[in-house]
Amino acid sequence: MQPEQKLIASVSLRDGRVLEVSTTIEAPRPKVTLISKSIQSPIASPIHLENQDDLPQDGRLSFALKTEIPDIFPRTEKIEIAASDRSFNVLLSVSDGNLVLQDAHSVLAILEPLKQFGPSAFGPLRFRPVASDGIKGDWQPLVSLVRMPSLNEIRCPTEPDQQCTLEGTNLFLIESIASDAEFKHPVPIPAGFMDTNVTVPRTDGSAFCSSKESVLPSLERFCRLPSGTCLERKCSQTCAGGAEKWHPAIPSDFAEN
Amino acid sequence: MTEPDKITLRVYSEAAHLEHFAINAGDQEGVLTGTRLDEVASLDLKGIHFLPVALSRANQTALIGSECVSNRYAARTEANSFG
Repeated sequence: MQPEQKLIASVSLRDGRVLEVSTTIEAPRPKVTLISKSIQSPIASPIHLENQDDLPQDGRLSFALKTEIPDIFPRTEKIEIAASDRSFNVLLSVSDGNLVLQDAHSVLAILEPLKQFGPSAFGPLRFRPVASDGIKGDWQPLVSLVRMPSLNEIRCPTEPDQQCTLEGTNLFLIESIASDAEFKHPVPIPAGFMDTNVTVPRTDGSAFCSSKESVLPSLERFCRLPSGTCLERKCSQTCAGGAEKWHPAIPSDFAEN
Repeated sequence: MTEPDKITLRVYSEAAHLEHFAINAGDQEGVLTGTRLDEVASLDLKGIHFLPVALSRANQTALIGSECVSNRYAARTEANSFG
């Protein structure tokens, strides 16, 4: 079947009657293939996301696409990125500069979610090509957009029976905090929590928090709050003085973790 | 007295009104436009057999897919929205 072809289709109804209907074969829809993608996380964040497809809201996503239909990527074709429930979306284009032609067939797309979606966007994202005449290709999964709290430090008193205090902002994004990855004794963060510090279980060097966004597909997601000068879970630090003060510090190999 | 003749009649419901079927080249599903599209059982085009997969009453359109597309939709939802 060729585009612009006019045909007649026969339609069978449930009661046995057969009707005819005029049929148009329209131009093929645009199709692209995801070649690669790269997530640049904010360097200052001490939170390590376990899922490689998690895109921090203040991060940046670069991904390369190759056109299959048509053969050459048209400069007027756009890439739509949207939430899976279509609650928010953005169109990337060559004219806006967030689509960059690598050659005649492939294009580099750049997404900065905080700038393009605002602070309330989160959840799975998908993309599709949109031709200049409005014909849309199929949706394909892209990444999952994750909002993260800003974590400054954990303070623990020297008395071993006393709990620690976690300082940061947007702590309402945390669902619960625990000193172990299994969350045997989690401390829940109530909805609407606005304070900049919260009491957390005593930790030997790390704390674990589950994100509210973990209600989305990646149920295993948890963010790791490093303390001291390393990110290892068994790392411990002792300080002279009345209280230990653990500063988040990012090792040089953090991006590879 | 003459017995009246008995005539057997088959009563049909109002027939679907079919306006147009559009499909993009290379696609396995297209859009059928019209009214009473819930009456449609199947569509045949150039030897390809299509089955209904979803109905939009507001827009008076039906998504019609090739058999494999239809089976995929049916597997995804327990009850086909067309039925």
